[in-house]
Amino acid sequence: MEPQQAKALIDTAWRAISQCDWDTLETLSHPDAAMRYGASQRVAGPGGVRAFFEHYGQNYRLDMRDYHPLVSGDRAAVETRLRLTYHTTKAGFPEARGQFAVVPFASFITFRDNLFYRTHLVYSLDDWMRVFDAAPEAQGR
Amino acid sequence: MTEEDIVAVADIMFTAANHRDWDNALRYVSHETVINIGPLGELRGKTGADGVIAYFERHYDFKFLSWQHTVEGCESATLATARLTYLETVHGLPEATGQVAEIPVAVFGTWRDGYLERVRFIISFVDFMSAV
Repeated sequence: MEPQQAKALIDTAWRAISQCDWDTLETLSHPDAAMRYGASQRVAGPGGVRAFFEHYGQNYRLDMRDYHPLVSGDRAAVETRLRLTYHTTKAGFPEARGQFAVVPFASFITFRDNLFYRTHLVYSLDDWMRVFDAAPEAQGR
Repeated sequence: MTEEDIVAVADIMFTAANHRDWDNALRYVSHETVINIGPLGELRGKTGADGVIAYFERHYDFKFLSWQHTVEGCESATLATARLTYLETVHGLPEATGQVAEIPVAVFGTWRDGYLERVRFIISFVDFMSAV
């Protein structure tokens, strides 16, 4: 896969996540795609990837537009400054007031047939949990 | 440094860390290297690196089980899996009783003149928290 093609695919996916465009996101995954997060959790297929992000999108805005990709052959790594906004209260969690935090977010990708084939997400739970105590977005920037 | 050089050096650093060979692990860290690592924030240079090592060696035994690098130009990204053994209690975490977990670690490096200019670690404690 050409580097510019890989970067365009990443850009389309990251924009789709940022805009909650789950239909577009689903079209970017290989039929046999798998996505890991943490050490052992895993979702499979385009529908699984869509469901993962759609689930988080119910409570958070995931703004992925601040990112930097590295591409080598059929693999890529993306360092993202995830701008996380907690907009809708999640059961058992503090009340959502638009709290905002920046979470370092790593993605390691293998492409096949010009689509996302294997993806491994790495982020710190500590960083994610900080959003609950953070100020709303306008004050957090 | 070529991309091949960066891969070779990064391999040396991970292997050396597994052997607690800190001279080799830190050979490419300069006094100006900026280090970002989750629980410790931003540190600088070999002194900062020594602080990172001291913190992790105090609380954990660790070994990198696998790693894979992606390099483009003067930048690198490594996805590693580390086996962590929790030896001494960290404030705010449950008591350490030797719990073991395998956790993913992401490392992003920027290289200049043969040295690391910046290095950022993202450590996923999700599975570690489940284990403790």
